Amino acid sequence: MSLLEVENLRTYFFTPAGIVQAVDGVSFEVDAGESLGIVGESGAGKSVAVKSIMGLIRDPGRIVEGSVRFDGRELTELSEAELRREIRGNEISIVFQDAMSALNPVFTVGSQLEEVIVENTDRSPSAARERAIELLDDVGIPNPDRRIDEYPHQYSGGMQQRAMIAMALACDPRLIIADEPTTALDVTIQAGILELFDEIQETHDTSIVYVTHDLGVVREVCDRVSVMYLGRVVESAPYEELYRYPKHPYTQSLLNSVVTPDEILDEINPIGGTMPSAVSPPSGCRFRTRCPEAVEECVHVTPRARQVGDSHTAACLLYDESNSHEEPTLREITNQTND
Amino acid sequence: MGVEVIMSAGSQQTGDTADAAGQPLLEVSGLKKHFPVNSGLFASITFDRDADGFPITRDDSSVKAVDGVDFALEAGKTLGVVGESGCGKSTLARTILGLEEPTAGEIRFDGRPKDEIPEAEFRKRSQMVFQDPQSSLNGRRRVGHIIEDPLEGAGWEKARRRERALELLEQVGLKREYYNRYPHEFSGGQRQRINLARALSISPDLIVCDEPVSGLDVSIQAQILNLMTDLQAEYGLTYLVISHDLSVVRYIADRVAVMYLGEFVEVAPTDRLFTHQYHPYARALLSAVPNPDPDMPGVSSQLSGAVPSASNPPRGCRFHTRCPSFIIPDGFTAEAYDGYDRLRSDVSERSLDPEVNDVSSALETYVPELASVAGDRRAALESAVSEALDGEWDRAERTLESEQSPCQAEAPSLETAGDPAHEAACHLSFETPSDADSGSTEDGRR
Amino acid sequence: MSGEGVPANDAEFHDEGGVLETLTKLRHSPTSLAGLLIIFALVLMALFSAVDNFVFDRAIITWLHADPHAMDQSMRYDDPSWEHPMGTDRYGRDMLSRVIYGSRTALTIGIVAVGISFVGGVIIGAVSAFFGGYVDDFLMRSVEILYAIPGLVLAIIFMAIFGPSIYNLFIAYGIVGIPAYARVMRSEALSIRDRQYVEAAKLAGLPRRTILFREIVPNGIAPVVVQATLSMGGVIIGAAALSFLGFGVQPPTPDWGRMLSDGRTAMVVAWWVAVFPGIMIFITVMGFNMLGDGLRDVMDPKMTVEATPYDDWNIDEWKEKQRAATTESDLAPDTPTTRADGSGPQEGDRS
Repeated sequence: MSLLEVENLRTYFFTPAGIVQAVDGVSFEVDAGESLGIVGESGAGKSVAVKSIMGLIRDPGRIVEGSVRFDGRELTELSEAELRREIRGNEISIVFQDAMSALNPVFTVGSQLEEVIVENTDRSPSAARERAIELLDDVGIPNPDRRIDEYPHQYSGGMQQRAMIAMALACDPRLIIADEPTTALDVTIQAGILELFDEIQETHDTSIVYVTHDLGVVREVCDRVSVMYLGRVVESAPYEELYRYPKHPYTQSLLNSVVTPDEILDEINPIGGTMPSAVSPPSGCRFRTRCPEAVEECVHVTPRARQVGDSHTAACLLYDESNSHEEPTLREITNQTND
Repeated sequence: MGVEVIMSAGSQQTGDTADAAGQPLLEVSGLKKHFPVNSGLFASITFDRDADGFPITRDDSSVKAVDGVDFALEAGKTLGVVGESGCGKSTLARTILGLEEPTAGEIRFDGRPKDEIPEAEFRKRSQMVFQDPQSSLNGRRRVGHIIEDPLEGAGWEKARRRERALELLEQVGLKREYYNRYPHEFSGGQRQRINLARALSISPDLIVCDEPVSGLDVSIQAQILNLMTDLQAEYGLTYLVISHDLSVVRYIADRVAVMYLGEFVEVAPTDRLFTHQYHPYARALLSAVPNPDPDMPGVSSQLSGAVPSASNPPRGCRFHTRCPSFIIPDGFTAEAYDGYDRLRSDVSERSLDPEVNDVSSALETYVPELASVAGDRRAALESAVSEALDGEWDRAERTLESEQSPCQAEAPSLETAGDPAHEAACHLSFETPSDADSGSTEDGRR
Repeated sequence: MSGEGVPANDAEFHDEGGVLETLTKLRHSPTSLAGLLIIFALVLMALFSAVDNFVFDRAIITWLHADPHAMDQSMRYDDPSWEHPMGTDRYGRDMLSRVIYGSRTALTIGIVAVGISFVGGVIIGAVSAFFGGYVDDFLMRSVEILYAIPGLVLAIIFMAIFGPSIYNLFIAYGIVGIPAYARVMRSEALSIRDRQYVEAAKLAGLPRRTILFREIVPNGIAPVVVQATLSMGGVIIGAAALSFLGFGVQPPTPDWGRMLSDGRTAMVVAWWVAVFPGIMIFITVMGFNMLGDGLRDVMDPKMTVEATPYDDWNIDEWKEKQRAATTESDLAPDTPTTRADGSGPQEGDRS
């Protein structure tokens, strides 16, 4: 059994402008000690998907369908208090993109770290401080015994992110969710953080769900990768397999449009257009409006994930032998949850 | 500095005529922009009880955002400037366009000093594309009107302006029907297209792009970069592209300048820079870019810490505090040199470790592996410590100074490296270029 | 892209901006509609009493209900009844007709004085922030001097200088209000001044006036509008205090503020004398607040929701280019040529 199993997750936002189908039938699983990358452009719903795991969806958002099983426990059925007490921080922790706003500027880094430790374990305050110094040392902050008493603004951007990671590690979680933790950082700083994630996974045997838009980053950190487009997972595979044999036209176009400093390309031919709004997504396959392989059926049939290789799935009619699927309509789903 | 960087080696014409084809469109020499740390009379006064004499001093330190930059940019070409955040690249762009007044140095545009060009003319011939597609468009105005702004500034009539804006919308890959829409109705990539349309509207010669694609998704980045190159080919535009992303620069620039703490540390034609990097900073920057191709080497973090403060940059080579190839003088081991550095900073602060009372204990405290230090170096350290203990701080400082690494002693200037068009500012030898993938460690020094 | 399709004609590009568009957008917000309704009713009342007072010499209201100026000592502090739904005041005047008549002065004072403060404050604040330096120092220090003196005292000083009249009351209260608006506008403008679109406008070579009033002010005005709706009540009551002191509204002209302060003394014996004008002031303030809230939202173009256009690229053209690129050079394996067991799009398989 996998450590985390997300099945057919749908998270919608009920806004005055309409129902935003941010996450619409997403499934993935993460084994113990494994790191999964979730890749997609902005608006693909990757952040919402991982926040749904932690129960961090706020009004007007709601998980309308699907299940999130962590170590066999159904997280969607837990109350807010149970989630806070039993899951967040001690079983699953999360690292956000913007460390500066996640750290409270009026407390020292140490006191915030100690608070998390005291809150979630039965350590005494003095033991918590020792542990805090140890953690800061683990995440590569120099002179941790001195820097623990500094305020967040005295840390550089990279160190703030390291402090956030220390906080996430504080209670030895079994799963760390990293939501674009290096997007705001310089590449030189990012390189260090990526190495840190690798190290954490090795030494702590922690599972990692790493959300990013950068395939290069995924390659550094992740064993497996799920590609999301407009609220759905279009392809999942071990990273190398995905890079070498991308099956879904979206994945192919994504790989095609990456500019890297190591290749000499005179002309990149990226896919055009932009992602449609999640308020009124296209029917059938959501990528069809930009898909070079789109055929008539793509309008009517919602493709399901099909096995296309060894632990490699893609949701595209190109690889789908079976006949049409019955997908619940939006009305049916929302009615269900209103009951 | 003072070394003129010319876009292509074959066209080194200096003269005042603007008609020559090889004439650089933009020439910048010795450009500096310093921001005072404290602005205003009252904010800059600090009270210092321990000072000798009058206890009030004026704090006139400044952030040296751009500190001596020279380059020349030929018409129709693209210069990319890369560096980490805080290296001064955005300030460079803003100073060139006149959003900031330069502290020193000269900017020549089309052969004439910029100060002599009338403001209105300069605005017609240069434009900027901003980084943030969210905040670079006024959310309360229709995109058509936003695109017309430079034309309005140039005094065009309303009907002609609209005609041009509609035309531009199509040129940047949007539809004429979007004229009346508001910016928030567009995605980030489309907003950046609108940004480009605005910059293009007046048909400028020079477009300065400050991180033109950094806020965009990869597929959109590629779209915008392609659009930029297409437009350049069509209108003969000259770009100055500021970016932290080497991939972007590689794709779009003819020539790349690597910037660190207000200075250019390496300048080379794009293809050359990505195959031969002479400056350790350029090398470190390149090795930190993640590459999705599993066959390519992964990232390695060679740099520790963040960019030092630009108000008090490190002495000598500004990069020496983070440099992975820092030159350790003969006779020192790395650890011993660290000890030397600690001793030196304590001496310059006029206070040795309180536990120190004689020469041998001092050396033991500061340089634990004294045995590894060569004889003459050890003698110099001993005499410096004894001078310091005697209270002759200045002499001690001078004694220690003579032992320092060349990286700390003097700032390297840009010098030709391997190719006439390739320049780097480093004390390391340029004779054996290190390839990006060979990753050879150099210990050679001059 | 529609390419050389129909060239869009001018009719499609008329500016839909302006008051009418803003008001039509208000229909989506029930709160602001209610506010608009309240204000509309009050304005009707005020217009009616103005016309009635100056043209017909109170004939209509007397015919409809009662003369607001007619005193009747026998009816002093009469309870609310069928004849006098809101009771009568100290002189036996009918409260209902006085409340209706009071809307005229209250509303004009509110709107005119707040209008003067609003316009003055916005201009001073925005100019101050935009130009900075000495201009900022001079303007803001002057405004702070105004701020340092209590509003009522300042208004009295102005009234003493200009002479007591209802028009001077407007001006005095308008000037007194400027500092608060100027400060709010300035702090907003300071943060907007460094936005990229303002820099873009500078680089476009637009005149400073245009930058100030087209880029900066519209983006910073929302909090000032809120400030205006909130201070409406304070101004109406403050003007009453002045009237009470003999400046401003002269008796027997009815005015809510004045009625409120007069009725205060008789609160124990005749609650209605103070309560009804108070309720009217409350309703007015609420009306303006509700409208202000709505206006703030409506003035933000983000409230218009039109889906992001996404179909603006030509797949066929792209495919053509892609094909050309793949045949010319042997591109990386990530071109869409590798496919599971060679199965292509299977047409006719499903329907």
